[in-house]
Amino acid sequence: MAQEASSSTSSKTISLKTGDGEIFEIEASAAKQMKTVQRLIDDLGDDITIPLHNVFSKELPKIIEYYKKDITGEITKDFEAEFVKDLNDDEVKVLFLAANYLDANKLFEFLSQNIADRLESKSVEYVRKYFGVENDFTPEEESKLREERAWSFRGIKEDE
Amino acid sequence: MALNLEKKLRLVPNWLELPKDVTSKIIQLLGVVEMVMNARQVCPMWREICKDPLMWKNIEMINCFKSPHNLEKICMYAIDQGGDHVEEINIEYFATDELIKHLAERTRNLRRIRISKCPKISDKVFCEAVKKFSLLEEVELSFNDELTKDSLEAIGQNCPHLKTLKFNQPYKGINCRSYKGYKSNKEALAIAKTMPGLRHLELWGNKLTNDGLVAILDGCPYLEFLDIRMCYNLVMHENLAKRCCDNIKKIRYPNEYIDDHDDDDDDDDFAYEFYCECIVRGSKGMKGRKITYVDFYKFH
Repeated sequence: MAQEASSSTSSKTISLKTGDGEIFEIEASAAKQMKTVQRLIDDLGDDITIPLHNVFSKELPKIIEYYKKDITGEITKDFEAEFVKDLNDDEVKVLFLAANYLDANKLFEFLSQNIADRLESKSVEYVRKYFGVENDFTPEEESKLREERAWSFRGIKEDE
Repeated sequence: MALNLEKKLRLVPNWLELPKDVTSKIIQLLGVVEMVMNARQVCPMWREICKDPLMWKNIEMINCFKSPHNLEKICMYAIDQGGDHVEEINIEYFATDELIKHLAERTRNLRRIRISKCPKISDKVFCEAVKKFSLLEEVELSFNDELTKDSLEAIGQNCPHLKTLKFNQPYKGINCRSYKGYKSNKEALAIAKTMPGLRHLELWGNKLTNDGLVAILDGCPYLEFLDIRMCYNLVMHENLAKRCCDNIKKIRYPNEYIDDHDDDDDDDDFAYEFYCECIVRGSKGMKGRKITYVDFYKFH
């Protein structure tokens, strides 16, 4: 039977097992912030190792790092800037998708904004490459697009 | 090659397999200019997402003074897409009378409007347009050279749900002779007369006198927040200060600084800080202006 989430959760840790078989510990209060994890705890109890099939050992520590700061109320703009500073586009993508899977709202919101920031003023082609998307407009649609591109007086900034 | 294999093994989901609302979210965070000029051109699926009127609920186009795009055209497009779902519009620099007319024609459910630093908008057009915005709750018209108390009256008369008004004007300078001593209660009286439900009022750099302030206090009995920074014609003598403090939860006084990181959370000690600042300013020789320094300690 699942324990009641009250006095015992403050110092309790939960074991999470990644898709590639590694085990990580997090505080129960951090686990609460990830709704998918919390749902699994509610179903399976907090004494067993929670399996996370779609999250892997590369990204889970970073997520745990974020929520460790969150539960102590220490998340600042500086921390967030530092958190994403050295991440390349692929790494941000993977974290974002993991945050989505885990239903970790705060991290998800933050990374959504970060991705939007990375795309700001980039070209359409850059955005396509980033999301792995094909330019599959019909010729009629293409001519409409050309009209709209004329709303720009100059080009946008070069791809990095 | 190796990366692709790794991806396959991990079954990393394709972006396109994400639920539409996740992709929509990122697109929406790009902001109106990027949505119009970029996102809609990426692929048919993104174009489709951008057709949803709810994506255009909040139209914000600020800090784009140096933008290479035709902002007016982009804004009109965004308004067209959102239609009756547009709830908020926040624009700086580029707005014209044409744009305001367009807004009035295409939307009906605006709740919040902020127009700042737009010298091309006229009173006449704004007064006419505001008749269509009867659901407005928050209005900011700051640093727009041509908008006067007529626009304020029009807002008051047409927007019964109005709770917040910000009508900030440029501070002309401590030593500017044409400002120093020039008094006018035109805006204050317009507000007092037409906005009885006001909760939040911001009037930086306004030329109102004590009479104007009293009129506002009389006419807006529900006022909770009052920001009268740089209103240097006000003489905050004891009775007036007491009346303000008794009825209003938070006040920013004429001599307080306005800076970029304006933080409204520091309620408790602001009176003390203000008092200290008055002493500092007094010692810097600004006694030429008619401000008396009152010990606000007693009121908090």
